[in-house]
Amino acid sequence: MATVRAVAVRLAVLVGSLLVASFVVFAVCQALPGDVAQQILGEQATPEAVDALRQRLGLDRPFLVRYAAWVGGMLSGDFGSSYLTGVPVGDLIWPRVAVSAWLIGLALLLTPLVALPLGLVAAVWRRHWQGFVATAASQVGMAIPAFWTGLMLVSVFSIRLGWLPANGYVAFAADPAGWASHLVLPVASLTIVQAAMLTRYVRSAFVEVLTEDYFRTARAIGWRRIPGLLRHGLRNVALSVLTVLGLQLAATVVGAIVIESVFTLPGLGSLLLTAVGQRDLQVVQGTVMLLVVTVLVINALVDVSYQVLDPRVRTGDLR
Amino acid sequence: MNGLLDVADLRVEFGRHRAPALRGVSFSLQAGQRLGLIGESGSGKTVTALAVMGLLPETARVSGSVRLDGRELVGLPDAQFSDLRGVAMGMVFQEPMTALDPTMRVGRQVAEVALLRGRATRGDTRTNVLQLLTRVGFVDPERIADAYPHQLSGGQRQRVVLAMAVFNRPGLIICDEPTTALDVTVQARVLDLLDEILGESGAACLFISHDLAVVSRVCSHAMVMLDGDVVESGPVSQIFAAPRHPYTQGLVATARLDLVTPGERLPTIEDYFRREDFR
Repeated sequence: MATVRAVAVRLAVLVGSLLVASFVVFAVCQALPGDVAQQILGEQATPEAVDALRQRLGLDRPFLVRYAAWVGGMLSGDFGSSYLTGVPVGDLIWPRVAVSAWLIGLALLLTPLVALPLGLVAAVWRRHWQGFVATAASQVGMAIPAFWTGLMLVSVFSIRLGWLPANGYVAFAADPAGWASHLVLPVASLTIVQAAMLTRYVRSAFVEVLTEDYFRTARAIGWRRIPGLLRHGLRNVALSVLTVLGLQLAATVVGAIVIESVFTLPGLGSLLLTAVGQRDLQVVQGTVMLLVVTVLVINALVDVSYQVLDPRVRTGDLR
Repeated sequence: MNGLLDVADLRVEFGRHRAPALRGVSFSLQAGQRLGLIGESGSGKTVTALAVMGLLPETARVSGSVRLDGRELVGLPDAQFSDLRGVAMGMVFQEPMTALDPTMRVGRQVAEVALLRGRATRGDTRTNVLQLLTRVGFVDPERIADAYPHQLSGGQRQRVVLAMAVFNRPGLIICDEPTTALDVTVQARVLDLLDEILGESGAACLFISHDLAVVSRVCSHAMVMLDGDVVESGPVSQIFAAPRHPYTQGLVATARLDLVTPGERLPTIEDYFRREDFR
């Protein structure tokens, strides 16, 4: 019962945050300097022509009406059309979603797979060279920006060794091997930075477990250090990993935008960058909103998953 | 000396700049014997227990000798030490509230003691776990086994930890202030239970407490520790009747409230022993 109520409350919070976020996204895009109609028609256009276009695009309506129309449209899957090209924003976004989803999804999947063992080593051998190496690697990984990691990987694996393509994208359905080879470097550059950051949290979570009384009890009944840590520590570490991963999601999305332009991947990030450059506000609005929705929904899922992972949260009598 | 547990000149240091935690502790424990370790916090009781269990933090530097059944434990690799824990020796800790994994059902945690040795099937284990939980005084073992630790009281949890420590019938059970965190009535019940289980299994016990009265209830012999040294040891009755060291005299006086005249100030250890006089 407590679980159902907690999930319901979390869903209500999600809907509220989505409303606030959509309003902020819309307001910011509207507040940007420059008149869309003027921009479409050019400097030489007559004021009458500009006004006429404004009317046709619906830009003369009050702010809140336009906001309501935009939100209403999105709820029915209509993101509006680009003011510049007239192409529906949905048609621009959907073909690119798969590219970004693969990039971000694979990076988020690999991040804990890299960070958990590295963090474990850094925690268990924190007074030995193995732990020092793991900690140092995570520090370095965090200090290097993702785009630079990307460039370095390209210069080694594409240019020097010629093993992997330096840029571009092939759809999975068209050529699975080509698809994979084009994603290896972008996913790696995104993962390295995120995994380096997560490693620090995994390390301190494991160090905490090492000092817990229940871990000492586990050792006293005969658990060796690492099997005992995995058995009794992983669930507790998973809680903090989930929290941090949820927070890292937003950073990963931002990182993906940069990485997509480094590797010229036709994803949402490159769409967004181009649209911002052209002041194509409808496209910017729609793309940003989609990314925001993704981040908020996944964070809500993370919160709900605590209910499953921690029986004290689940039974509602946390002491 | 050829007892079950022979400790000789055990020294433990945490870093060069701190006073040693143990300054050469020696004692011997025969099979089935119960030895109380008494002293204030910081006197080295827990460090002694953890050194025997091989559970001191990595930063500890241990020298001297700890022999269990003649086998040297100081310097034993952790993998081999792990095989002894829970089998040759079990331990009950001071803080029952945090001694169990909060994310795992109690029954599964108790069952681990058997499963770790890889000789029990799950079905057998469940039966054994329920039997053991009944043995440590639970009338509804099914409910306890399916509960999470936070759903149990401190006394119940301590009985669960005790069950885990004695599961494989180890020859040595170490209890580190097992009842200190419990209220007085629960404390009495847990002590009775411990007494009963020790009597039944014939296990030797190293019983740590700051409370002389509690020690005299469980143990035949006692050892008084002060600042990492053993200052007095012998049969409990002898220590009670004729304490030799001033610190022990203070301990005995504070434990014998029946000798206090009503209206008078209660005795304190400082009435008998001032640390400055011994430095």
